Amino acid sequence: MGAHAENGGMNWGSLNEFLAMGGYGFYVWGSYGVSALCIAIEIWTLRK
Amino acid sequence: MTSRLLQFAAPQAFFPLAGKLVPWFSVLAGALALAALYIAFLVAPTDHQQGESYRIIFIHVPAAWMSMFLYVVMAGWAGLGLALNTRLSGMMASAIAPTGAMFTFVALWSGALWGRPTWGAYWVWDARLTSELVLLFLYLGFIALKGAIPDPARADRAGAILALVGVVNVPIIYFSVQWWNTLHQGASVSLTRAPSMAAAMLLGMLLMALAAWMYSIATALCRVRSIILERERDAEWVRMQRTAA
Repeated sequence: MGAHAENGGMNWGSLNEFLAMGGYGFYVWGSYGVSALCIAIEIWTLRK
Repeated sequence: MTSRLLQFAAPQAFFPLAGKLVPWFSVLAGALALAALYIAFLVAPTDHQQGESYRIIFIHVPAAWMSMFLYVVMAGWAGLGLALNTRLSGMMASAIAPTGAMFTFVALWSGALWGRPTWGAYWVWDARLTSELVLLFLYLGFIALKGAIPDPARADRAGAILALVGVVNVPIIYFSVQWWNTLHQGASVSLTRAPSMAAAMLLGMLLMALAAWMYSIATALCRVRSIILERERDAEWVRMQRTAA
């Protein structure tokens, strides 16, 4: 899974590969998703 | 120069200034975050030990830095208000607390999701993790204490004492990885040593940290505006603002 990392900076062969995050999709997207949600909630409460 | 800056210590003068600054910091935060995400996912290489799970670092480390830094800034404002009895200082401390609590939660959450694949556990009672959890409780305690006291001047004083006592926790978090044997790794970035990571990783992390700074400034200024309006609602200038709007 790390093999394509060497071909010049672009890490991902396809969208599915990007979403899978080398098997760590749940952890990576779980972190980024909840962080984005927290920021969205904070901005939403500030706009009110 | 000093007197020109000091005029903004009056809520009435600071209100329009903050309103002008919010869009600038918001745009900067968005642009820096996009650049950081680009580097985090499309430029930074796969880690040879942790695979792709390490990409959580771009959220985790900036959020953890921000959680500690914002607490110090919040306690600084609160202490300034306590010492000089300036109204705006207490309002600034109140405006920073929710964003600080948010970053503390994000640091803990992303840390849990990073801990599971690397250590095999979402949570351990490690010194670094425990002291960061205490930081979250300090933020929540500060917000709850201020919310529980109806008189703003008394709320500011009580909050300031809690914030200043709690500041002792920040160096405990920071140095916990040196003082105790922790599962959490030591600092990856330090001013005195060469960074122990690839340049792209470091750049992505620093860009995200800058984005978090800009975001925090924007949210704090935006929030302090609503606090000013709420606290000064009986003042002449706020009433005029309301009729003008």
